[in-house]
This record gives sequence, structure tokens and C-alpha cells, in this order.
Amino acid sequence: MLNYMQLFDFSRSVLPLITLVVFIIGVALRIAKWASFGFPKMRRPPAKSNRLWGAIKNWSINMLPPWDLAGRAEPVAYVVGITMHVTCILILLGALHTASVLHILDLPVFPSRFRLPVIPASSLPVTVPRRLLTYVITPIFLSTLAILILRRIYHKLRGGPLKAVTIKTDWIASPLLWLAGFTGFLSVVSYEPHTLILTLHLILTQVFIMYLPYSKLIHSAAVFLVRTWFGFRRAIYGV
Amino acid sequence: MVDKVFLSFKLLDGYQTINMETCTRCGACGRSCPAYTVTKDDYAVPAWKGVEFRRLLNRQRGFLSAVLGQRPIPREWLRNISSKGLYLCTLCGRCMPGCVFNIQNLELWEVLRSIIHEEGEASPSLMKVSASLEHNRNPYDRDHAERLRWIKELGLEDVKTGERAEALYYVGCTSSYQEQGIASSTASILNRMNEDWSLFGSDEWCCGDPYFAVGDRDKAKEFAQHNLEVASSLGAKRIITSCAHCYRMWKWKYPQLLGKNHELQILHTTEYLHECVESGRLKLEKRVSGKITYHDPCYLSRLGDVVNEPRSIIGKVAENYVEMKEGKFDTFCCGGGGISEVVNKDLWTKIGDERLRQAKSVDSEILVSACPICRRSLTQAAERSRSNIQVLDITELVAKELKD
Repeated sequence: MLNYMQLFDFSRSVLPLITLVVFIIGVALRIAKWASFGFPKMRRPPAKSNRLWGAIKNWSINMLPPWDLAGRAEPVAYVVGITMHVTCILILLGALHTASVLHILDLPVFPSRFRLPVIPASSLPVTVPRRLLTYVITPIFLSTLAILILRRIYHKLRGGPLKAVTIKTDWIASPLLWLAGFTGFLSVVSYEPHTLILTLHLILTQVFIMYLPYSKLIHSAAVFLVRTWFGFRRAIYGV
Repeated sequence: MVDKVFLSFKLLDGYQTINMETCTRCGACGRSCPAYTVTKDDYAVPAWKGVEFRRLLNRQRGFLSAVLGQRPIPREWLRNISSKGLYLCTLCGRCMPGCVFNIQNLELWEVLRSIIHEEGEASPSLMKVSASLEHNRNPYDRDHAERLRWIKELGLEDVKTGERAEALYYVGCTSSYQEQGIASSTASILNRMNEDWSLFGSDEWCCGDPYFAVGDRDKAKEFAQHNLEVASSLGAKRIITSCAHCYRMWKWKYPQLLGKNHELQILHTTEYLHECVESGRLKLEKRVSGKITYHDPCYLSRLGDVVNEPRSIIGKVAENYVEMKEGKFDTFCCGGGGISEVVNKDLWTKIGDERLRQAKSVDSEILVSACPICRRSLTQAAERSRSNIQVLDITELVAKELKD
């Protein structure tokens, strides 16, 4: 039976390697699946305006979905959805995460004693101010994500646009992200490296990363292609 | 024994698959979808079609199928998709800008319809449309010989039909059989502009747009080929059409279907009128005093980029123009897309009523559109609600001004 110190060690040494393998296999399978369908069967019409400009516009002035279409009918979901994504990105750019990634990138290719870093908070490079990140941005992220999960539950029970479109796996992705975020928040506010809560955070985060390419979470990567293509489409049709 | 099939997914490409798999089922598309807005039917949410499409795909081409092999799909699933939500959609494309990721749903729905059609599970009413297209070359089950009857009925016998001309007026099925006022107005404008023009005549077939609703792309291609051959044989350089659906087919879909560009210049009547006004050939005066508003046809604005031209023309004939709330690229559908009038009358009625309500909410007395399908849907809605609002096509508005 593992004690939690062993579990903590496992979550920093063996689990990251498993995560990496599972993640890479998932990405490879996903790309192979997409590639198996080949290039567009229908010829694309000539563009009315510059495609690159269309893509730039779609990533800038047309970045947010029109209020009339997506916002007016459900303003809370519109604002909460945008806030959740913005705060999520800020957290990922936060000091702890960037420091961890930089540390991993610094590791030798075949590390004999691979360990995810446990970085003392005092030595962190400042990207997003730490207090702001911990006490403002993270609680906002957790609350907005919770609202989105509750919204899905509400629609499922009482009816709404999510009732018929919600599938079983929707109950995995968002709660998993919320739990990873919540344990991360707890481990920062009571910063003690060797705690059960940090172990949980590491495990949940890595499960999340493993699950990513196999689930709807793939949108976090695919969105870059899809939005760019829609920008091309806008250029083709001029809209 | 459960009847099962293997699907070919031959029309689906990697690009569309990525689009499909980016959906997070957040429901934003439901809020922008006219069908969901008016029916509140859970299966009308566009993402539902995406969920089902993905389910079909994963059954045969998912992660598990890489290990277990492709698994056949119970026919019951296809029937379920066909009967529940596939046709609760007017193919207006409003779910694309409404999607937070801009997933290009319209192409996906067209492919899904093709798959369902290929397996013989398309809606029976759509199959009637298909049969009518096959036999009568129009989706309304009207005799092909009647296609040009409007010429006689409206006393326009002097109009050239099937003759060589620089410009051909492609009337389209709805203006030929149902909204003949648009056809006659366009004809009178072309005459007034001394255009060297002709009608396609009896060789005019449907543009093929309804085949996208049916899901029969091969037939759409056949119709595209025929119409292009006729245009070529008549030596046309430009095609003028008063229908937004025909415009989209000629301009965007024909080159896609046939895999090559054609040399023809495709103009919607609003573009043609704008061109005439800009060149000084057409002089319009502000004689319409009532409050006037404009409904953007989806296939002309969101899917065709013609937004400013109609407003410019209306601004030249009307003093009191007012903009509706959900207009331009985000326009709300009239209900008529996807042959809804035939396939799902209830949906057609409800969306039309909602759009009319929006027009009335800005106190407009005249509601102008630029597509015979929109005109029909909105006229019927006005009649149902016994509203005094006058529904006109932009060609009718201009032709009336020219007469006066």
C-alpha cells in the first residue's frame, strides 16, 4: 500500500512520463483520424479579399461572438463563459505553471531522476502578480467554471439548449478541470510542498492532460485551426 | 435482427472533421439558431446534429474502431437523426457566427443530410421534393411547362426567351411559380435599362439549391452542369438573378460542385441595381414616405456578402429607413430556407412570424427583402397576423418607382 509521500513522489516522477506517453498517443491518434478524411473534397472558391487578413480579423475585431447571437438570450452564460476562458489562460500563464514548464524544458532528454519541480513561491518569476492570481483570478475562474457546470445540470434537469446535446463525457471534462483548479488553489493558499493536496493537484492535472486529446478538451488546440479557417471563409465570401 | 449499415463518409474531409470535433456542446449555437429560438425544441439546437454526427463517425472511425475495427451503425440511429432534429433547420448558417469557435456547421449539416439521404432515410417530404425536381425541374411539384406562364399572365410576351444575349435573367423556381411579381419587376427593370438580356426559357432548371437540403449532391451537380451549359450556349457573359439561393448556387456552389471556375459574372438584382445607380443609368427619387425596413436574406448577406447594396438602393427611394435589430450578417432567417415550407410547415410559419414581429417592433410600414423565398415567407406571415405591413421585394419597390 502506497503512503501519500510515495504517491507524491509517483505523481512527480513516473506519472508525468505516463502522462506524456498517453498524451502523445492521443494526439497522434487524433491527427491520424483527421488526416484519414483527407483534404476538402469540394473546391474552395476564389477569395474575395485577402485570406490572411480575414484570419487576422477573426482573431481580433471578430474575436468575441456577436452579442445579438450568443449573448442577448443568455447574457450570464456569455459573460461567464468568456471570463472562465480568460482566467484559465491567465492561470496557465501564472508564475507557478510557467516556472514548472520552464523547469521541465530545462531537464536533460533522458533524465535519470526525473522530478516535476516543487518551486518555493518566493523564488518564482513574476508573470501575473501572485496575489492577484491566487486571490482574485483563481477564485473567479473556479466560480465561473462552477456556474457553467451548474448551468449544464440545470438545463439537463429543467430543459434548455444543453438538454439534448449533453453527453456522458461532458460530466468528466469540466468537473475534472474544476477539481484540478481547486486543488491547485488550495495548495497555493496553504503552501506546503509535501502535502496531500498538492499530490492531488498533480494527479488531477495530469489526468486532465492525458484526457485532453481524447475528449472535447481538444478544442483548446483545434480552436486555433477552426477560427483561422473561419477567417479564411470570411475572406472568401467577403463576410 | 437489427438492420445495420456501414457509412462511407465520402463527402466528409479532415477539415470538416476538425470543425466537428471542436464543438464543446456549450449551447451557444442554440441561442443563435432561429429554429431553436422559435420552437424551443431540444433537438433543434444545432450542436445536437453535431453530437449525432460525431457518434456516427466514432462508431466507424473513432479511437476504439482503431482497435476493434469499424462497427456498423444501426439503421435506427439514422432514422432517429432524420426524424428528430436533422430537418429542424433552415440551413441559414446563423449557427456559424453564433458559435464561440466559429465552427462551420453549415457544411457539416449538408454532409450529414447527404449521408442520411444516401442510406435512404431522408424525410419523405424531402424525397417528394427530390421527385419533383427530377420530373418537373422545380421543387414545388409544378409542371415544367408552366415555368414561363408568368410571362403570358403578366402580359410580357415581348420578353426574349432562350435567345442569345449578353445578360441572362435566371428567374429561379420561386419567382417563376409563386412570386411572379418579382420576375415581372426584374424584367421591367432590365427593359428600362435597355439591357441586352434574355430569359433562359424552357431550358431553365432549378438552380439545384434544394438538392443540398435533400442531400443529393450528384443531382445538384447535374443541375449545375445543365444550367451552365445553357448559359454558355446562349453566349451569356453575366447572369442576373433575383433569388438569394440561386445567387449563392451560381456564384459559390457551381464552381465547387464542378471543380472549376466559370467565366460568368454573377449578379444579384441588388448588385445590378446598385451598379446601374452608381453608373448613373438609373435615377431614383425619394418618393416612398412610409417607414421602411429591410430584411437581409441569409444567403445574400451572411453567406453572400451583399449587405450594403440593398440599403443603398432603399436609401435612394425611401425617406424613412429604419434598421431592424437582427440584421446584416447576423440576420434572422425568414423561415424559408431548406425548403421548410414543404418539409416543416410549422417551423416555416413560426420563424416567419418571429421575423415579422421584429419588423413590426420598429414600426415599419413596408418590409423589403431581396429574395422570393423571404418575400413569400414574410407575406404569408403578414397575412396570418392580418398585419398592415406591406412586404415587397426590392425589385418590386424599384419597378414601382420607375412606373410612377
